[in-house]
Amino acid sequence: MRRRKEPCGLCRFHRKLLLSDDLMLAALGLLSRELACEKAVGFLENPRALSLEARGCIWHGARQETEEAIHLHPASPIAELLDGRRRALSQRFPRPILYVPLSPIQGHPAKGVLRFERATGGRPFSAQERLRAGHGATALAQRLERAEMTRRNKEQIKRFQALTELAAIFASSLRVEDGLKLILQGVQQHFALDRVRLYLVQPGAQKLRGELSVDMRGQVKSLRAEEMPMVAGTHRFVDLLLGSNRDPLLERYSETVLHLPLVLQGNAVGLLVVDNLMSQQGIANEDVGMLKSFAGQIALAVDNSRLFDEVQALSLYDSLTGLPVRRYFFQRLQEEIYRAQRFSQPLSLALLDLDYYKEVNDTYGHQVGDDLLREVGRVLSSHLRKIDFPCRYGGDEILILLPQSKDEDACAIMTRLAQRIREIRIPVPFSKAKEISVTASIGVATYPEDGRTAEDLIAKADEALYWVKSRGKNAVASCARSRTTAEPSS
Amino acid sequence: MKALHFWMLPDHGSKTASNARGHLREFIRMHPEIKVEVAVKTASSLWKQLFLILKRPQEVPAPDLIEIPAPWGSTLEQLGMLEGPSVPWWTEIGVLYYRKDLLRRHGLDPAEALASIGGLMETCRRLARVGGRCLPIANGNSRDFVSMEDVAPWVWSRGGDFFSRDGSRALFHREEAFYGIHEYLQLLDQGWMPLLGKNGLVPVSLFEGGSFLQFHGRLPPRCPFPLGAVVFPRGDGGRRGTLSARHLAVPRASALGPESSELLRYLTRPSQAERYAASVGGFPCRQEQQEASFQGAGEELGGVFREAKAHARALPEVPFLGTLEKVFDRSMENLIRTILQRSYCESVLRQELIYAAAEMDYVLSLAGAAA
Repeated sequence: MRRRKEPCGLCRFHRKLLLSDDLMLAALGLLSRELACEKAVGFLENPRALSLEARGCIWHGARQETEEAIHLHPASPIAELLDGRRRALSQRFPRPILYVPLSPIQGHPAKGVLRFERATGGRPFSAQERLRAGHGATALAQRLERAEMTRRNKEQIKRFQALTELAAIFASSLRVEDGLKLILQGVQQHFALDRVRLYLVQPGAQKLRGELSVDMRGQVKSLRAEEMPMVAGTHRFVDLLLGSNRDPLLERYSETVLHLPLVLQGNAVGLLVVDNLMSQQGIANEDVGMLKSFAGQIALAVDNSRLFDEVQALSLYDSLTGLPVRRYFFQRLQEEIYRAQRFSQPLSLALLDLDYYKEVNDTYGHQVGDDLLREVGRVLSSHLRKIDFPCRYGGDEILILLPQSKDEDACAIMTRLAQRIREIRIPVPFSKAKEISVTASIGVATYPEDGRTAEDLIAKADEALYWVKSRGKNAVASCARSRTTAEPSS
Repeated sequence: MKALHFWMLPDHGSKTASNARGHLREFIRMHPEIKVEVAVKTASSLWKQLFLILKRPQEVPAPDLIEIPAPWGSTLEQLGMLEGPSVPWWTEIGVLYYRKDLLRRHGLDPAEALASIGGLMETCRRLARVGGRCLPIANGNSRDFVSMEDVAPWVWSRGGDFFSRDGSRALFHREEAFYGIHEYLQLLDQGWMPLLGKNGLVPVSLFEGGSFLQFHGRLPPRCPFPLGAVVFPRGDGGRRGTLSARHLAVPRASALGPESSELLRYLTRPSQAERYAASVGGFPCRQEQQEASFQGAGEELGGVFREAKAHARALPEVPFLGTLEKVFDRSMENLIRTILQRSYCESVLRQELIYAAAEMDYVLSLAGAAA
């Protein structure tokens, strides 16, 4: 059987080429030789810009990058080529030029055009050459379609891989701070973005607060200084989340900046802003869909991690005093003992007991007792140093970890704290006095003089506390009983 | 053998690479261990590649030497992408070329008709009525594209500017600059300067016989017509022209830093730079060599370039000028679309420039943080 001849050898030649740009250049090279022309340029449609963009150029037989665009105008002859109304378009002045449509089926809408040029004064393109160029363009268009499908499949696989990688980060990051940095860096790298920024709505505070920003080198910065009230008109990000009027400037940025609200069950939890402002490279259409899907995942991750933080807070802090619980305290105590050993730093531990607390409960009731404990908790949280770590040890007993403090420093801090506790007043409307006050006894032990383990230190602090209690309460004493640092005040 | 990758802009059309290889011959003879691979990139492709290198340094291979438009230097330096500052290589000085024979035939004296912007507009109006194959003024851009450099002399001649002196704010939406840009766009809107998109066919340059006039920054290519040139016409704010240089720079990501610096030094040596500039019709950057080029161009043309140089300005050194130019290009593209749709008017331009200025102010505000 006789084999059908290929129109211009394109099919045979391009079977091995998979990338559309390589295909285009190979076809342009072949056709420019067959048509004996000086220059051949391939254009593909850019629907976003309503124009045809040059995608390949062969000039004097060599590949040449070119920057050329043809704006599409409904009345232009090029538009007629694209919608299949014309098979070819040629001109003679000032040099012979021929345009043919890039359509997989002749007479059907095309995805682009090919342009062939001869030198000034050259021979015009004949009818046969126009036909040959048309056949070549059709063969190329068919292969470009196939190459485009292959490219999309590959891109899709690449995106799924990225999605899987990022999903793994989402799944393994229960704390917001741990995961977000990795997630944002992953988004910046995968989509080669200039900048990725994350803003989160602060629940309860009615504020939108900046969290993190990742720049084009992958460097992470905190955006915590950026805060805006969730009130319409205060900031365009807030307006965007509240669904208020859209800023026309945002529309202009839409090619280079993408604002992705993080919404969960109808509630905005934050805003992901990605941009290519510095490079001014448009964000690809196919990336926009994927970024939207990531935004959904991030919203879920933020919500999950917030729930995790809440649950953890509930399990780590005593609900009455707001102070950490014993388990959390012992974890910190072990860390601090290790630090004290490693860096030869002092460390003290204080055990505080409220004087006559049982009597308060018995006389005024548990409600007043609880109010008293709540107030003591508040005083401890607000008057201790940032590095100090108190916990409700049990009943009215409170343990306080005092890093970087020798026993005399710890006693001084505790003396000041005892004074603050003495200033507490709990209203008791039904009693004669109308209010009650309280005093505290405190024992202090210091690492390593009084003990090297958590158990030893607590035992020694308890001994010091017993010493204070046995001598009239309302005082602070270090483990060395002779060194009493405060005398009972009443 | 070490392969040194030199990315060039298309200084000489399809002959850029072969022309460059000729200029590199001596360097290669002196350094037989180095093979210089020349790649010609368009400005937008180069910009895209450089940012990709910055974002994905492990994945994208970096060039060893790059040719860049001068305004990009500050952006790339601030982003830490260059090994030292970029070095001037060659330059263009904008003048207005005209066809002596045709203007004479239509009774136009270029010294008078092209002396002021008003005169130029009136000349274009008159020449448009002549009809025929020639358009009043050729579009020097290969695509429907208006750059900051294209409109700069129009803005400056009106007394306007693009940015505030401290480089912190955009000013081109202010009155003087606004009317300068409007006048340039009038050339396109009136059909005096062709747009590629209108009929989809390639615009024809003055040198191919497609027009009466053309703005051009280099010595003219060989052509069969008698050509003359004048400096950029005078506006309300004086006479201003453009000086646009190309620089060479070694990217920080280059794997052959010392060799690339050596090649940069070789190409920017006064004698080499002068030879290269002459080969592409441009001018060397050094003052004394420029004067020699003016003399070489002949008394008439050399005199015009000498005068044009005296009135010429380069775009200002503001942070991230390369990025700002891109924002400006996008705005001009929007305006060209309105011209093609026959909906261009002053209010459209005003709105577009206000938005573009706001966008640039934002980029300028980010400039410090991104550097």
